[in-house]
Amino acid sequence: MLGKLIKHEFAATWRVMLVLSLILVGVGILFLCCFAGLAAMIHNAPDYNSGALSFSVFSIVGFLLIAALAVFILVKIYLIVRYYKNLYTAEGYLTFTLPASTTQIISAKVIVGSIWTLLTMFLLLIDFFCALFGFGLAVTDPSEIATIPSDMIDIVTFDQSAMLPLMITIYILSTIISLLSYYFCITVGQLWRRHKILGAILCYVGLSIALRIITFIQQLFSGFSGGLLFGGLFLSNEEFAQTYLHSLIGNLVLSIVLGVLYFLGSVLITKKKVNLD
Amino acid sequence: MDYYDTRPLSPVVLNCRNLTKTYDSVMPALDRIDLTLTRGHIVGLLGPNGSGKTTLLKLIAGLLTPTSGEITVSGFPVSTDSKRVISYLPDQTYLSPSMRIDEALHYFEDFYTDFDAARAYDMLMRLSIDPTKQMKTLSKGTKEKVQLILVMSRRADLYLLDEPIAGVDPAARDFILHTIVNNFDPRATVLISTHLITDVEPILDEAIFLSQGHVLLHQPVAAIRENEGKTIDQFFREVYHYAW
Repeated sequence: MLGKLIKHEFAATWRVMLVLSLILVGVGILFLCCFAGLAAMIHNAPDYNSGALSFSVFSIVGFLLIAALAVFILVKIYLIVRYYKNLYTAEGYLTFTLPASTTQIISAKVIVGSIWTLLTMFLLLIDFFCALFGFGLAVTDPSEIATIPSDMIDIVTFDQSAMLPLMITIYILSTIISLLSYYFCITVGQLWRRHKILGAILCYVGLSIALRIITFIQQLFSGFSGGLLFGGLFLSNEEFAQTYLHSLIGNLVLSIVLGVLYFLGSVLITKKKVNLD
Repeated sequence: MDYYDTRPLSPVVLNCRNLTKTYDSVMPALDRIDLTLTRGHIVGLLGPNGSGKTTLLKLIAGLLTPTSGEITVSGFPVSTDSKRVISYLPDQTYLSPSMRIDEALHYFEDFYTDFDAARAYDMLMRLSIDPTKQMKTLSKGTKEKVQLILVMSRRADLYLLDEPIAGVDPAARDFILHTIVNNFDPRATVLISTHLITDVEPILDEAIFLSQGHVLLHQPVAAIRENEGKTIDQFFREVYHYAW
């Protein structure tokens, strides 16, 4: 049954997600075109008006960045609204009368929502690399263009450490958990007899504050806050890396615990407490 | 054929015991309801607005959690098993506005093994409804017809129809009632909630009168007519005149 739910969730969302993804691909291409044009002007016309050129190029780049971020926010809003409408409005009468368990219904939403969010994050990353590569094209001597990709890798993997896989794992997990937290807050909002959306927003605000406090405490225990503040003064590079690694592991554990709590909370509240009006 | 096609059928299709549902108000929407329905009947769930009809149907469909009491459908407590044998029509549109009719049919076919797509397409064709149309482009009456076609194209044990003829024109009412009767399977039971008694009276076998969360009466329609010497509509008006 989970497979069928996932299939129909994809079928219901792919059109909107395709449009949003194509916009992100378009932004990446425009980044490249914009910087390639800039590179050509810089290298071929040394007497260009640098002020005017910089202004127009950075205006376009700024607009593209805002467009990419807007698409990312739109994806989140779309997934949140779909979750809410599909489960807790009239559409919920169909969803919750299917011969599927609440766990399966929510799992399908989380799996498909996570895949779309991760795809969006991946495309955003590609856009970022396009911008970085384009910028490299513009500022690098044409004879050294071949070195741009390796320079970019050096920038991103700043210390060449073994932490990169861990950081990527946390990044992916935090993306999924962020979606789970929205779903959880929407579910908690349903416990209100009236003003359910307000309930969801208040829950999100309360949760965000609580999480900030928990994260701060966790970083204190892992020594990272202290390390970050005084790292330059008291810690060697090796000690700083070690402290950072501990903090990342703490983050990973916290993320997993939160993810499980959000998911179980959403399922249990929906199963035991939610009443569709 | 799966388990749901081959399982032995008990004569009792719905059993509610001591069923209570209280929202946050003091007065329960349903108060210690006992109700048993057997197979092969079309049953009218009758009562004025706020009497608890929709709450009862939602509890049976698993959309509400009872405050106390038990419900079994074909012997199953409310669960994925009971949802497999219930076909529920709510009192509002539950299909996504962006969904096309043929997509909705495919959806039902995928999730319900008892869904007869050929029967659904046949009914759509007879009503000249284009299956490629999106739900949001349909009139209210056509939306209701499409949802009823979906619900009645299943081979369920228990059909729960919440106000299926409210808010549609008389011609659409006739079609809806005709569809219910024509698709009626004697192994199943249809529970219709309505306050438009005159329209549904001709197709009812039994009537349940609900008032303020209590069952006032549950009898065969023929017995009410014989004992009271009145139509169900006349008797309903008499009962609720005194009850309210």
